[in-house]
Amino acid sequence: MALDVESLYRRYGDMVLGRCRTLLRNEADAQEVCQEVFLKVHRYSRRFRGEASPSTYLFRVTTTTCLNHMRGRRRRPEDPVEEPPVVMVEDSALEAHVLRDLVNRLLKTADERTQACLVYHYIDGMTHQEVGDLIGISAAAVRKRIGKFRATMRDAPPDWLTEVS
Amino acid sequence: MTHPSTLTLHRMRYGELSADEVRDIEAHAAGCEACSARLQSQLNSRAAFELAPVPDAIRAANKPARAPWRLAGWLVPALAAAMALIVVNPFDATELPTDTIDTIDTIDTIDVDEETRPKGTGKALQVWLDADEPERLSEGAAVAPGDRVQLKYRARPGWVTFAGVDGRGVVEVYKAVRSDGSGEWRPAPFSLTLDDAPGEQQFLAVFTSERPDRAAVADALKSGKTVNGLKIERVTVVKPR
Repeated sequence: MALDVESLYRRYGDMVLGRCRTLLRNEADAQEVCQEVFLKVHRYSRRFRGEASPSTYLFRVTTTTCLNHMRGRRRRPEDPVEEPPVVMVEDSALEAHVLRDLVNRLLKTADERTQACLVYHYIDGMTHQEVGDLIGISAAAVRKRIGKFRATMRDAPPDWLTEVS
Repeated sequence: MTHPSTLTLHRMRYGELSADEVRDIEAHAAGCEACSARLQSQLNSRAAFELAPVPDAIRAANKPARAPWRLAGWLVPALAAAMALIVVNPFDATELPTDTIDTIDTIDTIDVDEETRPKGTGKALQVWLDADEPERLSEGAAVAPGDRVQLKYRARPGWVTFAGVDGRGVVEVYKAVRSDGSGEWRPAPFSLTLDDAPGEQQFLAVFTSERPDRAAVADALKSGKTVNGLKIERVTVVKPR
């Protein structure tokens, strides 16, 4: 049975698009990556075997795709990030300026998995256990990765670093 | 309770949480201005989203691909009928000069002898999922309708004929090409989009020293063995039923 990607989009597109807007802070990029997420899910539909709910699976794929897009954008300085952000940070637990600061810092300092941990923990307000369940590592491993990231900013920690625990 | 995560709020809206979980979140949101605002923001975004059209790329993804016109010349009527099951897409075969590419007609339905079917050795034929990050499909790998695959063959001296057998035993011959004999892996000059016929889908490469003969290739596909200088290799993937 083929995956009905249009139905999937109609049902979950608002979540995916909102997530893209939150992370990418650029409306054109958000629209583009949102479509990319659904086309990717369609292309690799056999990899979704129901071990997670559709929204959880899409949330994870969207996060990964956005982070990949952001890393690619950093490698192309001729294609600068649009500033100031043109979209509202609607469903994040963080204020817009905090989110921007966090995203900029994590892209500079963290590896890919740690970036995902930071996004889920600080931006989405997930506990260590929830993050671990989502990306398939232990809560302790999540805590360790976040701890390493925090340690890199020990000398001048931003205000938001202590806001979410 | 602690503040629910963004994903948890989404899952609640989509009806994926238990009644107890929903009750806890609603009770929390009733006393938490921030979470109440986050939830309302999601609902507002949902309302705006429903007013926007579905992007064309999303709509198009649900439609099966069509055979390109430039293949029509070698698609005989019988193959055209079979192409309702599998669609061949063009591929830029830069390694192969066009004058070395030849084609043969489709072969009528053949009952493949299951007992003599060789296991996919992968020695001279590979099947790759054609995507941004291509992935080699192993023997018995699960595939889905709409997946696009690319065949690769070891360029032994002589000719190689590409064919497929679906779960109903229908044999399709896609194309025959003259190998450059380099021994390197080469992509077949086309890719395939899988249809929604369930079950096994075999991909075959028939190697011949001379220009392939239709009857000889048919025999090879029937027997699954080396016959009169023909060497057949196959990889089987599986579509869900």
